[in-house]
Amino acid sequence: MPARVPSAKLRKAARLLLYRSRSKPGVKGWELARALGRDYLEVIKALNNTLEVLGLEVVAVDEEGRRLSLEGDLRRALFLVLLKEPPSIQEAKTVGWRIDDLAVLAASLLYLMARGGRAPRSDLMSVLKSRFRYPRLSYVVERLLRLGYLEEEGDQITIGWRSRVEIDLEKLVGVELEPRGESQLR
Amino acid sequence: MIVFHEYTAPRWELAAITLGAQWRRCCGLRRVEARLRELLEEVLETLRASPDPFKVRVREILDELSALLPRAGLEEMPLDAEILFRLAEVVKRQGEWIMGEAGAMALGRLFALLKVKLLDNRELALQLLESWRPIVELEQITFTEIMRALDYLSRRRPRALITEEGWELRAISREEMAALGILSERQLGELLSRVRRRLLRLLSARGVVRYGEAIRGDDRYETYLNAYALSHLASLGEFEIVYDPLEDEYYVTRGTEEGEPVSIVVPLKLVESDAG
Repeated sequence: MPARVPSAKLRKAARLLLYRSRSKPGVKGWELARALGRDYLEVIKALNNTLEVLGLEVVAVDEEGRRLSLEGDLRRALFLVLLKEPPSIQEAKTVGWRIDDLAVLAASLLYLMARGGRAPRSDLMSVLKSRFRYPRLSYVVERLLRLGYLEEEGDQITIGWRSRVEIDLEKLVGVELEPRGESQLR
Repeated sequence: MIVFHEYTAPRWELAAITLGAQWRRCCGLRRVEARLRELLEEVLETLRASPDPFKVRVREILDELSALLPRAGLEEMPLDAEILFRLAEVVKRQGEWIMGEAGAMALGRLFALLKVKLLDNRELALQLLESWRPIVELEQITFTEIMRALDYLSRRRPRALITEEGWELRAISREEMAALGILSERQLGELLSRVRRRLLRLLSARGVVRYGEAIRGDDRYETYLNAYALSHLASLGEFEIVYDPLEDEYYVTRGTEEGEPVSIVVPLKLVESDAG
């Protein structure tokens, strides 16, 4: 059971985590420690209990986007608030996602996973073009790159950090794709 | 002259030395035995705690065993053999694990490609939604950003057309165009039928027609009217206008039920050169 935490600290933690302060979402562990004190992990655990009622959860991830347990030294980890359950199709539409855009993201991730996590941009685009006769295709791919769901390394497209954080990639495929790493607790 | 006398230790002293050696040896053996038991416990405990055989430190334990073996007595040999037996089991399980994982990975990649190929847009989106837990964050604007926006807006050159007094700029409806005599209802109906017939003829031969070719008229005015008619037919779902970003080209195809309807702007400057 988490320790009792003053409500002022909880409010401060919620503001830090929920308000976006830079282009990449999330707050670093050292920033939380500076603002909340040494027992910042206890504050986060207590905040999690409060957020659970709203269907939200605070998670810590490493630089690769892998989930970390809320124990030990997490000053270098990135803390984010996620939905505790997947959104409905209506909710996704409400926040600005079109069905076709979601389908492009799903197809891109599935194709990249089938290729071991990366593929030349031209290959991915030709697969998407054969799959979607969709005038907004290039725009959607650029948007996914901008949001961090996909990443670009030279002429290669890779699975972005945000996809690793937000999407259970193994569940998306339906079969385990990568050998379990020790730090991957999901 | 120095004379060295051979020293003969008394019997009690010899007994004490022998006892000390045995004691030290006994202590050493006990330490070896304790360490061997610890290693065996570690192997068994790791295997119990996780199904992953790679969690066992096979190489390190083997190195330690080879260091302990010269110091071990006959009594410790069964323990040593037991650890080696367990490690052999671990290596066997590692082999099986690798084969299983490789199979699952190959199957997973096949599954992923099949999903891309077979699922329609809605099914793909639903699959993604089931495994998606998006980041939640609140967007806000800072005072600095407001000042920057004001600065930007004040520096922008006016882009609206300057209209003379008594003139008004606004979108004109089909009915108003008919009322003004620019386009009659009858003419529009005829125009739609003509463009429809022409497109169906072109599409029956090729399946896809370049946009410029689809709306080409005898002069610029007729080209624009054809473009207007095509946009009307596309809104009715009879035809579809597709943009190919790689070739920067617009195409016209037959209308499909798939996907969501979207508005598309086609700059007519691109096709003016095609107009007769």
